[in-house]
Amino acid sequence: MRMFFAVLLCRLLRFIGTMFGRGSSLPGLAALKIYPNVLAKVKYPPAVIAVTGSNGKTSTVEMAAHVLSSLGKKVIYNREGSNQTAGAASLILSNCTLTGRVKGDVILLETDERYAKHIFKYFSPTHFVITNLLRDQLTRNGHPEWVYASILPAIPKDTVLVLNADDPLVSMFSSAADKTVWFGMDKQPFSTKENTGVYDDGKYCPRCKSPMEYEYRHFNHIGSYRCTSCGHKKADTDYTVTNADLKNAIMTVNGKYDIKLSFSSIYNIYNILACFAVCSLAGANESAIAENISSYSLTNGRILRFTLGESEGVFLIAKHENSVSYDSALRYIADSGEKCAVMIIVDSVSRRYQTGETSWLWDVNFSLLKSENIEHIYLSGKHADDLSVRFSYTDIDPALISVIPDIDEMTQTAGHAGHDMLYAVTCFSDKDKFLKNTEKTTASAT
Amino acid sequence: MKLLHLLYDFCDLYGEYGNILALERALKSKTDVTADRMPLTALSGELDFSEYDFIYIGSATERNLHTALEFLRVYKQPLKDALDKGTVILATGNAFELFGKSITDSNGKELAGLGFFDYYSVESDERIVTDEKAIFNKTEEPVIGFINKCSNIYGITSPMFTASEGTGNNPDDKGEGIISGSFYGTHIIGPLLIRNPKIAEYFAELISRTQAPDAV
Repeated sequence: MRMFFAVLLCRLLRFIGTMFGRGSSLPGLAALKIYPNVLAKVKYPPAVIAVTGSNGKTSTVEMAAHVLSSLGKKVIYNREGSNQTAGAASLILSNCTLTGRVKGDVILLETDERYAKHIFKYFSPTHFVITNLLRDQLTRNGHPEWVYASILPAIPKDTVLVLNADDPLVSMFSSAADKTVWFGMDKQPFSTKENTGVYDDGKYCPRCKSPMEYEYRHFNHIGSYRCTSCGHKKADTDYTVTNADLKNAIMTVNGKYDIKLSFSSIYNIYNILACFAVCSLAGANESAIAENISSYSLTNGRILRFTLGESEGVFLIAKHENSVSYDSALRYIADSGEKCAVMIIVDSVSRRYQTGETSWLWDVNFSLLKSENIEHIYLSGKHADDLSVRFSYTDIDPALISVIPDIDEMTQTAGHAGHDMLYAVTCFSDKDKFLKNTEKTTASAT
Repeated sequence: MKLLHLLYDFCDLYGEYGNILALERALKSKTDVTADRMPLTALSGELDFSEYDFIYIGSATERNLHTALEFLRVYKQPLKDALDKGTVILATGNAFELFGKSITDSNGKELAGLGFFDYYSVESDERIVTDEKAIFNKTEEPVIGFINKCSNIYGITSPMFTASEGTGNNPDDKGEGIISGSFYGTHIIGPLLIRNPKIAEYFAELISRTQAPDAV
């Protein structure tokens, strides 16, 4: 009976919420109030897949939801922003019958790293995907090992772990469950022997703290590693990127499934790989998955182009407080080889909380912008001066740098400086402050 | 002038290598300066730390901190000798806990510290995360920074800072960090000396003064 009321209340509040365009977690919160154990009593579909990790959760879940839906499965999944317990309750209960049976074939749950242990107190996902553990929002996450320790108690012994074999810290989760499915990428032309970041989170073994050796790295500590002491090493992979051709925007999974890329970045390739694994484990046909990801990628994974003054430009998201995300955007610009100017905007560090914390700027490898093709760099936003100091410690010629804190003024200047091409790099929190100054914004494939 | 960034590759969170860069820059206008970076793997055999005018060590994950402690314990005496001879030591983030009497981890296990000072640290499962505004007790200069820790420190009577916003060494203490002789410790993370050029200047002056008698 309590189930009946919990589901009813959740649906009702969700309906009212939709009318007012309000919050997605409130209905779940209310349902949990009247029936705290409700998530343990629900009858789940055969596939309940949780996805967590520092980067790529949202992309992986959205892509997998699209692919599985177009392959005829009824998918229930959460959108960004509702990845905590109440959000999961809202999602699950509002898709339940009044007797508590979930009306769907697959549940995909993007799960916040810190909340997983609270959510999975009540039920076990059939599969638990962990994409990577990187330095991300350290103001609330402490550091990657802290996040590791926070996720660990969330893993039920009977779940199937789906782990990124290329991440030495993520690989440590393997012993928490009986079964692990591994995904990873073979050595590629862009792989390097040495670390290319400012810091090296792969230098010492996460298990025993002895030095590690890398056969190759794809970025930061992601690659093929082996501990010189305890033998912790990259596992053999079940889902493998056997070929990744950034130039021709194509990747191959398990030697036979070609997938077209709309955005040639290593991070995108990992998201697609994780998505492929999820869909395959949810029972979809692998050729069909590859075909579907290709078409999804070409229609959704688009690049945002804009016109600013006399110049054309491309907008790249780089998450503040996430050096890997920044390095990725900066590397993309340097690798493009196009003559261009780059605008970097740091105004609000986070859209979720107020902080003046800028130490993450020192984890970003801004020296990547010391590249033949980059003619000028504009630093803007409330933290333009912090950026300026950071750049003064790179070997980039100061004559190439303009510091203009006011974003409107900076975009005016950059738009009329006669640059062939502009790149804008900033986070979701500052995206609109920039885009409102631009014209003819369009999304298109590469 | 010789600077050392101790365990630069192991106690390396929050871009704190910026501290040594800022100091190097502040000193360059005054004197010749070299900065060595010492990795964890270099802690073997005999080492003399007293050749350095300044030693810096920064924040680590808790597990790295505990491992660093095992390694540094072997070099307790050479480090103490350097400090006694006037080498200035700055430890930021949880690295400053290393030099106290003990660190108790979140499971309640007590690890013996280097024991240079009587304070002790207690880690927990909760992080204390806050923007910090404080006064540098040596010069009364205001400083800004950020604290991101999971420990409280007890038993300090001569703090480096007095917190006006944020947190002190423990919830009942406005005092943050420690100054004792030429040892400076603070839980303010990130490139403190970059964000607060006057503190960088303070250390540059301090080291120049300390070195002066030998230099003549």
